[in-house]
Amino acid sequence: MKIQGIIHQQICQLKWHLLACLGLVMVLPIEEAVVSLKDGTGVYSSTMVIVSLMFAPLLTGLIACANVQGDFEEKRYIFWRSKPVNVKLFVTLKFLTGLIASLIIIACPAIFGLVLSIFCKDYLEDETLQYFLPFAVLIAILTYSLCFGCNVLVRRTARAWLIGMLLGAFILVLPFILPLNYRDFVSDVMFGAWGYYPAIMLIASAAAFVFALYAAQHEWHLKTNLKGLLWVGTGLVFALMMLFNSQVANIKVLQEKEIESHDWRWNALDSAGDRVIFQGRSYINTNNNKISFSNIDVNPDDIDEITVPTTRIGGYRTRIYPWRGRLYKKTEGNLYSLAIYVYYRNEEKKDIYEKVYLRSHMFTGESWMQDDELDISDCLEDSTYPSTTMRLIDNKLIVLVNKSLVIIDVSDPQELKLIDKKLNALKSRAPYFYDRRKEFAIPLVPVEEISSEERIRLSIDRYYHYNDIYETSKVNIHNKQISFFRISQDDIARFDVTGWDDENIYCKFGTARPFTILERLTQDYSFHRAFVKGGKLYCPGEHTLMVFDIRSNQKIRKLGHFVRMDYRIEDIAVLENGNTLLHMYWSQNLSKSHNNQSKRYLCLLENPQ
Amino acid sequence: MAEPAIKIEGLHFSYGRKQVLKGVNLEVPKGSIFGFIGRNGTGKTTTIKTLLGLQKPHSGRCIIGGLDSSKNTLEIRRRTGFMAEDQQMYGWMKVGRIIEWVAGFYPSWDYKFADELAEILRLPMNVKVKTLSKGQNSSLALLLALGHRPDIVILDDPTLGLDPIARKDFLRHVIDLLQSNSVTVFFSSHLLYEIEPVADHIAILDDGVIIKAGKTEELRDNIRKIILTSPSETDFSRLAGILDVLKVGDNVSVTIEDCNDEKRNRIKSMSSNGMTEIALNLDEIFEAYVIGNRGH
Repeated sequence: MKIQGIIHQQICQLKWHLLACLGLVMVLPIEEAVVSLKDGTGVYSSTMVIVSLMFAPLLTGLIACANVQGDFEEKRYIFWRSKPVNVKLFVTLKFLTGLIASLIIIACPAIFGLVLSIFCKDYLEDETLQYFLPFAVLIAILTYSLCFGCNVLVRRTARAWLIGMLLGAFILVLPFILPLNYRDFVSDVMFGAWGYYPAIMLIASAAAFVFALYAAQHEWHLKTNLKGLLWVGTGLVFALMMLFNSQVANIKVLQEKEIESHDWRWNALDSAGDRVIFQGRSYINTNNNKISFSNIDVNPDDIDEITVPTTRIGGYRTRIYPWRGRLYKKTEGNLYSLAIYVYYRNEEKKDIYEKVYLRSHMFTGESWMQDDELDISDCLEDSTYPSTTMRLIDNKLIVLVNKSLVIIDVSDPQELKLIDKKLNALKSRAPYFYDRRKEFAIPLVPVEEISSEERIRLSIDRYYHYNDIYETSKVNIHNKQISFFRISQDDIARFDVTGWDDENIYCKFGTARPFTILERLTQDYSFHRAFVKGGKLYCPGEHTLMVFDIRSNQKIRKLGHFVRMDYRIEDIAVLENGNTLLHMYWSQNLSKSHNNQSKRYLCLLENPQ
Repeated sequence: MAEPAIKIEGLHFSYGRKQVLKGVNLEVPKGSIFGFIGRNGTGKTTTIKTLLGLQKPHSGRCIIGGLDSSKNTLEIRRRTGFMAEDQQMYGWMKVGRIIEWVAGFYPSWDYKFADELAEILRLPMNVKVKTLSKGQNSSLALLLALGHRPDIVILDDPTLGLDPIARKDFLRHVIDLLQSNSVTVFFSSHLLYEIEPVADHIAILDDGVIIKAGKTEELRDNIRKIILTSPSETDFSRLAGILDVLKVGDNVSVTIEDCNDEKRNRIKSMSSNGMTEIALNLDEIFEAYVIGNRGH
C-alpha cells in the first residue's frame, strides 16, 4: 500500500473544500485591511482576525465531513474497502491530512493578522495571541475530530456536522457543569486554566479519532432520521444552555419587590454609612434576604414627599451636585445631606454662572432643614458652566470646582469648617490613550490632609470616574497594590499604579479581560457607571449587571451576570454583606418613559462568589 | 475432487431483525464462470460482501482460495478482483489517476496488463471519472478489478444500468478477457438472459437460501415443460419434482425438474389427448423455481 498515493488522494479530495474555507475565513481580515488602507489608518486586520478565528472551528468541522464523506458514501465505501486496504492506516492518514488542512485554516488569518500588525505597528493584543490562538486551535482540533468521528458513523455530511458541533458544544460546556469551579469562560478557560480544559478537549479529540478508527474497521453505520435528530439536538442544546446558565449566568435573585415610586429618579439608592436610603425617604432593610422599608426617623408618621429643599436666590436658577443622588453623612443619630449648589442666570440666551455654595441639611424627622452653608464662589474662574465633584473622606469633604479645590471639615455638618482652599491648583485634562501599553502619568490632586492612598484614589477617579465620585470609585486597593479599571466596548482593562511623586501618579497597563460576543450583544454604553467595591468590579449596564473578581494580579474573572433585557437598571447599591440591590424600571416600551404600563422594582441579588 | 475456488457453508446474516441470508451453501469450482442469480433484495450483494470479508457473517463461513474470509480479509482482497453493483468511484479523479491510486494498493499490479485493458476497453486516460458514460464507468471498474491479475473475480451485477448494446459489448469483453486468463468468475445478476450464454455454472438464491445450483447445461437438460391437452386429472401435487402447473384453457402446462422417463409416463397417463414436451431457457427455469406454485 503506497502511503504517498493515499495522502495525494486526500489532498486532491480536500483542495476545493480547503480553498473555499480559506476564502470564507480570509474575507473579513482582507476586507478590514483594505478598508483601513483606504481610510489611510494603516493596513491592519486585528479585529476581524479574531472574528475569523472564532468561526474557524465551524469550518474545520466542514473539512472533517468533506474529508470523510468522499470515502464513506455507501458505494464508494465498498469500492475502497474491497481493495486490500489497511483501514486503520487509511483512516489515520485521512485524519491527519484533514487535520493539517484544518490547521491551515486557522493559521492563514492568524499569520495574515500578525504580519500586518507588525507591518503597520498596530497591535494584536498579547493576550489574544497568547491565549486566544491556542484556544482557537484546540477548539478547531476538537470540532474537526468530533465531526470526523461522527461522519464515519453517520455518513451524512450535514447530520454529522450538526452532531459533531453539538458534541463539541457539550464538551466545551462540560467543565462548567463539572465541579471544577469554573465560572468565567474567558478568564477561567481562555485566559486561565490551562489544565483540565485543554485536557478535556484533547482527550475528547483523541477519543473521537480512536472511535473513527473502530467505526471504519467494523463498518459501524448509524442510520439517522434528520427530523428526529434536529428535535433531539434542539432539546439537548436547550438543556445545555440551562445548565450553562445556572453555572455561569449565576447571580441569583433573592427577592424582587414591586414598589410604588413617588417620583422618577435615576439614582434612587444612596448610601448613608452602612445603610441604604431609598429616594431620600426610607431605609431599606434586607434582613433574611427580604426587602422591607423603615422610616428614616424613629417616630415620624407617613412621609409622602421629603426632599432636600433648594434655597432660592432671586433671579437665579439652581443646579445641584450630586444632581441625581445624595451624599449623606450620619453623625450621632442625625442624618445630614451635603450638596453643592450652583446658581446661574440667563442673559441674552446665555447661562452665566456666578455663585457656588456648599450646604448641609439635617433631617428633622419631617423635613430637611438647612444647617450651614459655605460660599465657595471664588472657585469659579469664569461664568461658564463649572464642573463640580466632591468626595467625603473620613470627616473631610473634598470639593472640586473646575480647577479649584476646597477641603472642608464636616465632622459636625451643622458647622462647615474650611480647612483649605486652593484656587487654580488642578490640571484639567486626563491623559489620552494613544497606546494604552505605554506608561502614563495622572496628575496628583494636591490634598495633603488625606492619606496617600485616598489621594491617589481621588486623583484617578477625578479623571476616569467623572460625576459619580461622591458615591463610588473605580480604584481598587488590594495588598498595597493600587489599580484602576477602564471599560471599553471591547474589554475591561486594568491599569496598575507603579509609583507616584509630588506631582504625578505613574501607571501602566496590567491586564485586560475581553468581552465575549454574547456579552457584547447585551452590552450598552452605561458601563461608565462601573465601580469597585470589596475587591469586585460592578459593571451595571442598562439591562445587565456583570460582577468581576479583581483581587488577582493576573486576571479579571467574571463571577456572574444578571440580564433583564426588558428592564432598565436605574440604580445599584452594594450592601455590606456583598448582596446587591437594583432599582429597576419596567415598561411595555422602554423607549417611551411615560407609558402607563410601567412598574418599578427593587431587586435583591445574591453576592456572587 | 479439486478444491473449489469459493466455498460457502451455512451462511447466515441479518440487518437488524431482518434475516437476509438463512443458511447459504455453495461451491464454485475453480476456473468456472459462475452465475449467481436471484431477484432484487434476495441477498446476492450481502453474500458477496461477506465473501470479501467486508462484513462478518452471523454464522457460517466463506472460504475463498482456501482462505477464511473473516480472518484473512486483506489477503483475500489481494487475490480477488471485485466489481461492485453500480460501482461509484472518485468522480473528481482522472481515469489515469484512479488507476494509479488503486495500483498502489496491490503489490502484484500489472501495469502493462492494465494498459492493455485500457486500450481494449477504450478508456480515455485524461478524463475525469464523473464525465464517463455508464459503459465506460463499468469498463473502468472492470479494469480496476482485473489489473492485479486476480485468481478469482467477483462481479456484482456488473451491467446494471447499461443499455442492451453496452451490456453485450461489456460482456463480450468480460468473456474475452477472463476466459483467456483462466480465472474463476463469480457473477451475480438478476438478468438471466445475460448470464445464460456466459455462465457454465449457476446458483439460484431466493429468500436467503440457494434453491438450485448446478451446471447450466444440466439444468437445461433436467427441467422440462410438459403441456397436456384436456387432462383427465389436474392434481399434480403428489408428483415429485413439480415446479409449476399452469392451466390455459383446456390445456395444462407442467414444469418439472429431474425429468426422466418415469415422470414423463406418469404425466402422460393423466391425459389421453396427447402431450408436448418443451425445453426451457434459463429465464423460464428461474421463474419456475422462484414463483412456481409447486402444483398447488
